[in-house]
Amino acid sequence: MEEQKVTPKQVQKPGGGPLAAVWDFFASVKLTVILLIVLALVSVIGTVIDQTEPAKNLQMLAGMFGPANAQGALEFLVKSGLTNMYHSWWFVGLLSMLSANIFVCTIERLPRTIAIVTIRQEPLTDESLKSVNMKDEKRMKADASSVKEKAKAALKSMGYNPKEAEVDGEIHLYAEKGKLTRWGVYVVHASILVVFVGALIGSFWGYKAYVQIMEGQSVDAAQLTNKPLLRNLGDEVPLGFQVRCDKFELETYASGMPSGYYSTLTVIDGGKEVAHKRIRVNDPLDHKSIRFFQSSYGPAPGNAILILGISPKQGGEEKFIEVRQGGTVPLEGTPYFLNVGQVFANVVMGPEGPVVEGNEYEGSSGANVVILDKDKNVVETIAALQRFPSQEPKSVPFNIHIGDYKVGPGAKYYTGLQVTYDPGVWVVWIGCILMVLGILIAFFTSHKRVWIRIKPTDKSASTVTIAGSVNKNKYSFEADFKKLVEKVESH
Amino acid sequence: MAFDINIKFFEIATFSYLFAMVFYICYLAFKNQTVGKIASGITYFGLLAHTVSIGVRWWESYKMGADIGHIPISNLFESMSFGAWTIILIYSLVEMKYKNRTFGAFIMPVAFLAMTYIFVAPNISKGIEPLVPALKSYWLHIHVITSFLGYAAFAISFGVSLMYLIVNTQEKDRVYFFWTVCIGLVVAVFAVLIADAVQLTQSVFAQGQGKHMMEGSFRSSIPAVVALSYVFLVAILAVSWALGMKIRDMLAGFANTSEQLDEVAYKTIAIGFPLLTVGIITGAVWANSAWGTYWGWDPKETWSLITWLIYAAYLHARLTRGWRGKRAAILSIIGFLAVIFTFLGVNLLLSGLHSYGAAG
Repeated sequence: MEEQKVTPKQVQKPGGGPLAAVWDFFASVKLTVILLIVLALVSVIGTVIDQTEPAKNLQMLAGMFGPANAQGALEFLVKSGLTNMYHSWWFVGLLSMLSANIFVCTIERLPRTIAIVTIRQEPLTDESLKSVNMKDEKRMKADASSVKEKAKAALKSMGYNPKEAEVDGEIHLYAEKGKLTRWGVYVVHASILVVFVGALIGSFWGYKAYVQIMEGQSVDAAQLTNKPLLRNLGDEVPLGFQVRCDKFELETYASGMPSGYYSTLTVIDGGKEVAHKRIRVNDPLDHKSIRFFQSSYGPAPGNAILILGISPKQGGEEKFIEVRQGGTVPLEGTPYFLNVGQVFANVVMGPEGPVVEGNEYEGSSGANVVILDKDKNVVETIAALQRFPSQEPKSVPFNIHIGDYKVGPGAKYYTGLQVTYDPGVWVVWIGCILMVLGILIAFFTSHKRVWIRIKPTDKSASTVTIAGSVNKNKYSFEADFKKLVEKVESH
Repeated sequence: MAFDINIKFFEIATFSYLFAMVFYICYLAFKNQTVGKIASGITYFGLLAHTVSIGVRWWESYKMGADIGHIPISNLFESMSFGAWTIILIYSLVEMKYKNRTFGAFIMPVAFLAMTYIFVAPNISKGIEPLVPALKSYWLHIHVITSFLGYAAFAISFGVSLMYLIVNTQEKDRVYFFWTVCIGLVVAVFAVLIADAVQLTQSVFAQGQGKHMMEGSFRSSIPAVVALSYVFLVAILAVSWALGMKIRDMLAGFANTSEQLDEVAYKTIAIGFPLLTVGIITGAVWANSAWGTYWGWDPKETWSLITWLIYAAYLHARLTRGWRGKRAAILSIIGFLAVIFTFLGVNLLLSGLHSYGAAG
């Protein structure tokens, strides 16, 4: 559809031989289509194999290969990176190939685009008239200069800024607009690389952590849950300042379902209170780019009454007993006692057992239940849970799980905060904005060119030729072109 | 006071779409302009009822309590209803712009199936529910609205692409097999939903509601029904395969549609793709503000990315590799299958953060 002959400058290819072959390999759009489809296909694998907790796949594997082989199959999955496949070397490799593909294609095509954008539009010739998208010719009973004025007005009213020329006694008007659209595709492609760079910055220097703060207390470090790749931080990240939880509030709907929870936090930096905010789930506290998200909550030690379900291992009726946190009760039918430690509201099953990391949708309440002998010596500690199976105690013939827990009025809570630091997130957002802008420019604008040639036939008559070209969105340009023709040729 | 006036209007809209579909099919079969106009009229009526249903639901949520009130796009029922509404809205605009009613027979079933599915599925709650804290965000609203506008555009591209394949069939080749299977499956889904609806009304009188989809067919407790379902499925596919040429002949009477179909399929993707992009990005912004992570590779996110990748492949194939016609149409159909899976497959089969939108 390119009606103008453009000879792009020869692109400098790096060396010859194998390097040039690699370059040519990445210069192909066929590769792009293949990479996009391959990425789509392999991404499916990660949605079938659970990526959050490898152990969750055991049930599916048992169904596929039999219970005996499930553990072995899981080990194979873990080794081949399929349980963390979006970070595996081959997935990152595919993304790198896509990046190289985008980069090389951009370098290959840029000279051609620059040539198209910088080339000056020339007046219409009989030769160029052959290759335009649309044309119209009419004899008009008006002299050339009045037709010219009319045509000029018509072009201006449609947003064109026409240039004038006179060639062999013919009057030429020509104009173009929407050149910007030629850059749209480059903006989109660059934006994808920008997003990748942002993601890399985040994984090299950013982290995720979790911290619990009792009401009235403060912390200066958090437990890392996602470690940065290029910083050695150990298991705990020092925040560099202190965060105090002044107050925790829980609101519920009439049904008892939580409708919102809030923590009032104060940041103490250099001995001074520098920030103060009441945070809720969607509204974090931000200090020095470290953000604190409301993620969970639970009763502070000694503030909850736990209802434990006790069921005999060999089967039989389940009994419920109430234990205050920190309190000790005898376990009926055994010489042992139960003691309840900290209660967590948001526990999920990690690969090595329960971890306090969840949010209110997937988490379960959980507590450490300590089994004591008659002299109150610790025999064992198990994690009792509400929504997941509890750990099985070895010392007593009972299974213990959490039925529910109650918090009395005026009880104190702890707040569970997710702590994140991602220096790359702004780069990602810039990439996203560029992507949307680029797509809008690429899809919804077009490079339009129009030519009007007025050939005087005698003093009061002339032949008008109108031509138009567009690089895309032909149908909407057709309507525009018709309007232009009507305006110029109307009486 | 029961807050179910919105459901009444929802039912009116659903039946309107069903009748509109029948009239659109008759329009193709008899090529009678009056029938076509009636089909469009019923569609507009259904769209109106549907709009009222969504508006009333919004109003009713505030009537239930000021803290419960929210724009009705938060659970599976509400968002699918909104999705079907968008499909009909965009379809009506396309019909007016191209002055062509032939697409109707291919678009209405998609919207009608979506409506019937959420109405019949026993584990989808139709009631207005309070929002959990994480869902109270404006980003979420932009996310859902742009995503569904995109999905609706893709739905239309799907219907039109299917039509393209039919119109351009010369012989019973692989492409013929592909689209007859597609049509057969749509018919089979229809049958399954009707069987479920019958099963549902039966079991309401007997012992409460059913527990799964397809209890009236493939997952029935009666082995004979299951066996019969498979026989029917094979029969439907065989009939679709046998009658495919008849369907083509029915459509062939409408002049110069082939190039226009290709154009509409591309145009709707060119509109859907930016919307999906904005949908994914606003979803990321929302996740970042709610959980501190903009991208977590949870199944829903990943499937929306898969959909994005397929349509990106379509655009590259079409714009730079010159893919037109059949190959482009097949890619567009596969893209929409990914859309359906992003929305339903992930919610019903896979787990993840988006489970708040899940059935249950």
